[in-house]
Amino acid sequence: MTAAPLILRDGRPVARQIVFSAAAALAKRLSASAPGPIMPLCGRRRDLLVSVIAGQLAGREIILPPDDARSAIRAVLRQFGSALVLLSEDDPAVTGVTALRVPQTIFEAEVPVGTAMTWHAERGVTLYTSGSTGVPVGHRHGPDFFEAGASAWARILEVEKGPVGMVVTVPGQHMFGFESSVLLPLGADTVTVLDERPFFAADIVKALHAVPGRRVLILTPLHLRALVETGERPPPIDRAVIATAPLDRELAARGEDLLGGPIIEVYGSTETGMLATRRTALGEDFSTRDDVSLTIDADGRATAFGKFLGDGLVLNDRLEPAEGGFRLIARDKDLLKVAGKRASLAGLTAALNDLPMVKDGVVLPPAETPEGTAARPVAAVVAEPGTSAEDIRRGMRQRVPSVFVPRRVAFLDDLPRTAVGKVQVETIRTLIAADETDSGLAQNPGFTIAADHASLPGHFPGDPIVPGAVILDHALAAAGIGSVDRLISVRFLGILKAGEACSVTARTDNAAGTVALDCVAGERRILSAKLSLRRGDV
Amino acid sequence: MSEKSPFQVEIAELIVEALHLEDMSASEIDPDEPLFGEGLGLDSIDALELSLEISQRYNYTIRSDDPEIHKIFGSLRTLTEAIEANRGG
Repeated sequence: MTAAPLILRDGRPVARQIVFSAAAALAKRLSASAPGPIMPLCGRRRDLLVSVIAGQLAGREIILPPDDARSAIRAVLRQFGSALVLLSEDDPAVTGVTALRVPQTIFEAEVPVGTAMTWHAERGVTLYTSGSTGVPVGHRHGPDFFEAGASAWARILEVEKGPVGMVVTVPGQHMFGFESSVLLPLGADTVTVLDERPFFAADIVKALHAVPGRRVLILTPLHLRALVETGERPPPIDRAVIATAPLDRELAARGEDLLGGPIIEVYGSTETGMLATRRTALGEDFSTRDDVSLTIDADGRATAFGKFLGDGLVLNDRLEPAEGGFRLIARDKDLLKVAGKRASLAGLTAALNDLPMVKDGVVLPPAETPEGTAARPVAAVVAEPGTSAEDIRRGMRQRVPSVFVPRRVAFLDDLPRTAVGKVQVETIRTLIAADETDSGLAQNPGFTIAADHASLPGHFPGDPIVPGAVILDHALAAAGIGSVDRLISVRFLGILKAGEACSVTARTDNAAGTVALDCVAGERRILSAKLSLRRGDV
Repeated sequence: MSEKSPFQVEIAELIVEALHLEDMSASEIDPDEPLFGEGLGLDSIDALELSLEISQRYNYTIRSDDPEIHKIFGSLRTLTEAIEANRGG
């Protein structure tokens, strides 16, 4: 069988020979430049593949930053002294670095006979994570690691079943995107990758229509939710592979209905690569990859072993053994994931304390939010007088990727700490709630629905939950709102049980004549509503 | 800040609500302030969330291959104009 093209770009296939011959031409240019590693930030899939192959041919080490924020790129470059940044022709410029744009001309030259078409990561590829101290940490992987990874991915996609057209919504510079859009197509010659990275739901649908063969979609829960909720009608896919944030079963099932194929969730990390998979719609147990074994101790601490993993790697999450694999018990508490990007809370806290106007501060994970939404972290700070929330956000924006910039900044007199200096998170959350009272948000005692409430027997016998209408009614009463003109929106985000205390915050926008209501029980958001008031009530 | 039209107020409310901008109210969004990067400081995930809300409420599908995409998300004013021009029934 002849090999499938490596890339589909603007509707035209780009053959493997062309990509490898272009890589040889690019390698020549690399050899003429100053020695040192290369950092391929190319947004186009074709250019990333060419750069990775060229780096190998020119004997250069390849380094990939934790994200494309300028601050992260600079932090990684500082560790190396210098590195050559590679970009696609239409990527935005990166200032303050030595950069080379992958030229179109190298794809137009004649392909020399006998162009070698294999890629081994002999010099290694180093992928960075954001690190728990605010300094990025590199994880260097060699040929054994990537060869094993490419085979494992080939098994997920069953590449031997015939040509695959792959649409990838994540960047190729992180482990999930690197394995799926670089390793896999280089290792399996039945796989063709779309050059563009679709973003909006409509883009994804258009991209799926464009690719040949069995359609495979690589995405995140955020993109899946966008697809499911916009009412787009994608063509049927062969399968989708999803990662970067926990996927819930209901979204997985709705996604499978819409896409007409199984959705496989991947469990892995930058340190280990993909380790296990599950079909989330059918069950919660992960099956461990067949060349990996896990040992799990009584506390749920797991170590992964495999030929490509050296002496074994201790995982940060807590697991529980299950038939054929494991079940995820608790995610790493220091790890914050927002839409495919991950950051260490300790690292974000270090960045916060690095701001000149912050005397002391801590970044907290957001309270639980519904599946597929990207909740942002919260900052509690002790700041110099006169500091505004916007000052904090502006400072953070220069230090961390924008998705990790705290949306909510609470100013406190001091941070409660334990005797050993550990910040008391729960106390801080209570203080933040109190701080909201000071800043004009109306606080009230909230409400609790008694177990003998008349609405409960019907909802559901044995395990009563409070109906949404009852929650809304009590929230309005608790907030002292009597005359609603119009309900603009109501979202029920979590289940409220009888006897559970529910706190209510009401935020009035006097200019617009509206009130935003939020109900929270413990850490769970229960309801979010917006309504307009009758004139005279504002 | 210039006065907002009723539709601009409606879209400003949608932005605050859909993106959980907890420190902001709709009245604080300047129609001509940049929504992304500096200014309001939104990012690509917000763009995805907003596109979802806009397609559900106004039946207007935003695509990144629209040559005007950067202009559409430029400010509250340009976003509102794009929705008004493209909204379906």
